[in-house]
Amino acid sequence: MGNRRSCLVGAACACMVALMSPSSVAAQDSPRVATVAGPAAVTATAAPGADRGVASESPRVIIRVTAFRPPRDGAVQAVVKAQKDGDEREIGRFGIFPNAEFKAADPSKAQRFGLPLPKELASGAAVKLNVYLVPFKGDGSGALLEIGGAEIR
Amino acid sequence: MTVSRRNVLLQGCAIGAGVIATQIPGVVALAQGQPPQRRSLGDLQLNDPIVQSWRDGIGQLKQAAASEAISWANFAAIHGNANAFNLCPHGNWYFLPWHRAFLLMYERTVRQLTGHNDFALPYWDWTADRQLPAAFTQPTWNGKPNPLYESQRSMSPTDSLPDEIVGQGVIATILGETPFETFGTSRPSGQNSLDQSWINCEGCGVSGTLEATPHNNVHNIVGGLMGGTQSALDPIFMMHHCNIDRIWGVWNVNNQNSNDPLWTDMTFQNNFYNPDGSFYSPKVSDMYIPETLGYTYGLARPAAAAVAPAVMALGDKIKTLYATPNVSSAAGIKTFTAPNAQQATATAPLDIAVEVDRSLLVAVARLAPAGADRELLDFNTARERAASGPRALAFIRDVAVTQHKNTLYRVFIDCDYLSQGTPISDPHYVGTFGIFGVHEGHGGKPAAKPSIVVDLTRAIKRVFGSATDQTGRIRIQILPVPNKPAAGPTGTAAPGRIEVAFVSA
Repeated sequence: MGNRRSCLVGAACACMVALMSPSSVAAQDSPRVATVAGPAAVTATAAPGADRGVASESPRVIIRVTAFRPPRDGAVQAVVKAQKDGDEREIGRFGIFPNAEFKAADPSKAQRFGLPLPKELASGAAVKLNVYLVPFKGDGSGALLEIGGAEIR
Repeated sequence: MTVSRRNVLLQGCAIGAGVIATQIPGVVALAQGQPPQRRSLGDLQLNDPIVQSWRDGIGQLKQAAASEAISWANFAAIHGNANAFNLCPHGNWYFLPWHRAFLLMYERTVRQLTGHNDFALPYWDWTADRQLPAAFTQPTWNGKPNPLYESQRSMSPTDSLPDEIVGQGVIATILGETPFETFGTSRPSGQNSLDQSWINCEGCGVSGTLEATPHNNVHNIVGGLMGGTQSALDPIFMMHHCNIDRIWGVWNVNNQNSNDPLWTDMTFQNNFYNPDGSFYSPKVSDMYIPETLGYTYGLARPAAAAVAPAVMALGDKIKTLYATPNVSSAAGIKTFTAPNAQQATATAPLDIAVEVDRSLLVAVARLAPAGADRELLDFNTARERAASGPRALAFIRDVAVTQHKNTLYRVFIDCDYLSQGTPISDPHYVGTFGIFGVHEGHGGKPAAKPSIVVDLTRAIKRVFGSATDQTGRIRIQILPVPNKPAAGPTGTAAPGRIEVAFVSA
């Protein structure tokens, strides 16, 4: 009886996990996946060397998006905030266009977005970022953004 | 239509060199010297010839079969279909020049179809005009289906684009980004040739703020077709991209494009059509200067202003208004007054109709369009330009208030749906005032009630600029709102009278 009950409970838990997991992207509780319930946390580190042709006069954070799923209704935007001394400060925001699901087949196919980084935040070797998903209309339910990484250039 | 290589080369070279072959329809205007100016939709009435030509041109394009080279469906398919983008680049450095050529295709075709050689695409300046332009939100025009209307959009006619996407701060960030690959999105990673496949390598570069923030988000907020790969089927697409193109032009006033041959020498081979149905294959370096392509944004060079006559004249008139309430006899000033005995509350905004001279109201509403370069003007030049036209001010006199410490008082004009939820980005919004320090008078005399002045000029332009049935009445509305969460009871306001003063240039 106990074993059967355990099996039934285990099966129910397995069903719940299957329902919650996005079909083809990282699990919802991964720190690099943003939903409207919570941000993706990522640390941007200085790029190993300046990319020829992309050198900028001012520091930038380059964020790599490896997967996206739009909300069931409407659209969302990604709001990027940098952490410093316990505070958060918005450094920019971007949208994914077209507003359609995608997953990069490999890291080189990630969509990349460059945001200006205030000089006072660029003085260290790394910057902690939170990437929030914010809906324009409705509650943004179903939306998901996977961050493959970030670097400072 | 059979297209010979000779024809393609001839027309490609002719257009690229800025020398216009007169047998190419749609580019006659350039041969006449002054290219047609692209103007903001916010400055155009619904029946303006520009708007009407765009409406007519799209109507004709939509009537053509999708199999025709010159058709709405075929043009849009160049950009993308229901499943994927086609030739259009996004997320790499060809984004701006390719879309400039794409827009040019429409502009030249509409000139050809309508015979309006002075036609130039209008742009949707969403920083100034946060709502969908009225010409695109009406299902019908003159009793027939409106070719500019699209029913699938998510954005309603009363929704407003937010500051954080299209506000002046965002534009300032964009215009400050250098070099070109930061501003205009970077090259595809690993590009080492001029192979055509690099053009629509999606997301292969690093998107700058222009593409990532206003471009992408406006597409998504408008929604419907605009949010997907068939976005070019929505007529607002061209107006949105025309503003993106204009911002590139403004950026170029102070900044150079990339000189990397991998960018400059890329040809968009057979990507577009000439109005006669032959292919149009420009090179990136052909796309730098709008005037060589047959249009202009009227970008002016900033001039040092040692003397500011318009600013001084305006200042003198406004001093007169302040010094003499309800003045109507001074040169260049005309005032109209409406008494008031009502009170504005949070649930019942005050709505006072002021009867004015219709011609004065129309003059303010239809001010000549500003140049498309106001982001670049130095302060003195900007002031001179702003002071050079007629303007309207509202004097809200002798305001009796309650709970003023908890309350902001927002001013709107002619807003039929005004409520606590109406944002300050709404085109009917004028400004906000607060009242500080209401107290007993000095020396035992009763204190005067405060009076406030607000400038109605821009709101009048936004609200009345495109109206075809303008009356000689303007409604001044006051809405009290809490000045912070849990502020306590929201106050009221009861002005003794409203004066609307028109000050001529």
